[in-house]
Amino acid sequence: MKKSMMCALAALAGSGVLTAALDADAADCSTFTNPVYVAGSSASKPIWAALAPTLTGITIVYQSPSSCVGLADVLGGTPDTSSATYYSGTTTGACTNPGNVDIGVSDVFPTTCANTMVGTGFKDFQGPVQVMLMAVPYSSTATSISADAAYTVFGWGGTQYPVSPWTQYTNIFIRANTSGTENMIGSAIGLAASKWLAQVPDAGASQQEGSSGAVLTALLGAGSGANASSAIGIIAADLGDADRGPPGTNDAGAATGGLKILAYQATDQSCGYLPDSDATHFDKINVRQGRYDIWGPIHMVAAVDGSGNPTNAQAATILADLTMSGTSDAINQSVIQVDANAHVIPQCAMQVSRSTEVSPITGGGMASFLPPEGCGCYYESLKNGGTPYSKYCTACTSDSSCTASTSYPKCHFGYCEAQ
Amino acid sequence: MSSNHSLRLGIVLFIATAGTALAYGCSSNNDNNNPAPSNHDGGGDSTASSSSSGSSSGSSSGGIGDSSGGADVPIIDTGSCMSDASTCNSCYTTQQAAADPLNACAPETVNCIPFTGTVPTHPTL
Repeated sequence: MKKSMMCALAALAGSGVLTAALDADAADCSTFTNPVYVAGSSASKPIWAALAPTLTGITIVYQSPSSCVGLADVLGGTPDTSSATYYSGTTTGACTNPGNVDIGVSDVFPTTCANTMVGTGFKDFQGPVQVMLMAVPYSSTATSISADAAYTVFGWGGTQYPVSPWTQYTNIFIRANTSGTENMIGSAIGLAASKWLAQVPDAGASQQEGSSGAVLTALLGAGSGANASSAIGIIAADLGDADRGPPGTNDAGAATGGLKILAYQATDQSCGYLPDSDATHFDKINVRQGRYDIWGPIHMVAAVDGSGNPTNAQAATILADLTMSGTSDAINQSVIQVDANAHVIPQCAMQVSRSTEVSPITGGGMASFLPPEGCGCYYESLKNGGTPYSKYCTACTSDSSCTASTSYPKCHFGYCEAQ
Repeated sequence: MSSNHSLRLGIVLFIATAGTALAYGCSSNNDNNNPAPSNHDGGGDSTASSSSSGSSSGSSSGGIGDSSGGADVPIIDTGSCMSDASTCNSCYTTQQAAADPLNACAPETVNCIPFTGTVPTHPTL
């Protein structure tokens, strides 16, 4: 009897029924301490997971219906219908009945999403920089892609106007047209999200993945196939960086790696750039200085009062942290660590800014940027084993110890910065 | 051969020789073949602030301090040598490159990978 019950449970688990049953038993999201409902970009997941342990008395309830849907949710004042995950300190799990969305999180500017405008009573808070990637299996022969090549590959999928080696549309992995990843890359290469693989009549669900994680899984799967070089997909750096490099296993025995990031050559560039100084570093120097083109600040839209302050106090705390405004140096330092762990870039480590979406026509409003409290060296130290990558970085304990260069007189987070 | 003709030929030869010398001096990365620094600022392009073109074509490749619009970056005098590309100030000596470490000739940025594939002519979607 006991054995047969165990067999039945095993069978249920194998079929996924047990998982569903456990989800059904998940707690109501509202029972957690001060839940803040965040919905939108699936690519932003690592940020919320990394942020939660730094918060006190706040539970993040996160849903990932895609960037544009999350914005529609918050602007419409409605709950999101996708599955919810709570992050309370270091504890995480599924929860049910999520409330109205407090923060709509998007990888793209709200105006990039169809029929979306942040009107009176709402505000777009811009957080750390998200970098979007075109990636291939690690074993692929490809190393670089141009804007025009990407336009052709993702427009026709190799069925017409083939671009080697991406000539097999079943190995081309994209997202839905509400995805921030697809909208941002689409804006960069000049291909509207609604037109991706639109010339491939047979392209279906296996090409249009439901999340960044699903694209990653598909690419890693294609890497073990016979035509690995024909595979390509789009993914945010916060997910892609975690599996960059040769395939292997971690200490826990889990599969890791298997992904290669393609250098991107924008329309008027003569050479492609990786986001980082090379394939083995994580400094994002070519993003931070504007050579790698496909990036933008993460947008967090929330309801605000007449003074522009978030109406939800807990949401206000989260937004202040992620925008590094009105918080202490200690909190800012922990947020920089959160960003570094999540493979996004704090604004204080940027040397360029962007006022509109990346675009080959407008340039995406990119301009020189001097962060008021620079953290480029500290960010690099976090990403490079404690040693900043840039040569200008010198350690300091106070402004008075920044004497090596008059260009970098301010001591922030242990390093001399411009201001 | 008339004296006028000789004069013109001399001028042409002088220009050609000077041009060749200048091109040689500017064509290698951070070598020491450049003219000695003078009061003429020929390297301003390398320290210019980021382009607002957004193309990220490297025009934002000034020194680390270019985020300030160039104000906090020392203007490095490269004499009469004109850089051969806006993305890489090959006029820099090793010492000058060290003072402006993230110009596009620097190791941090020189590892670009050109796309070498062929894209067929296609219509606009």
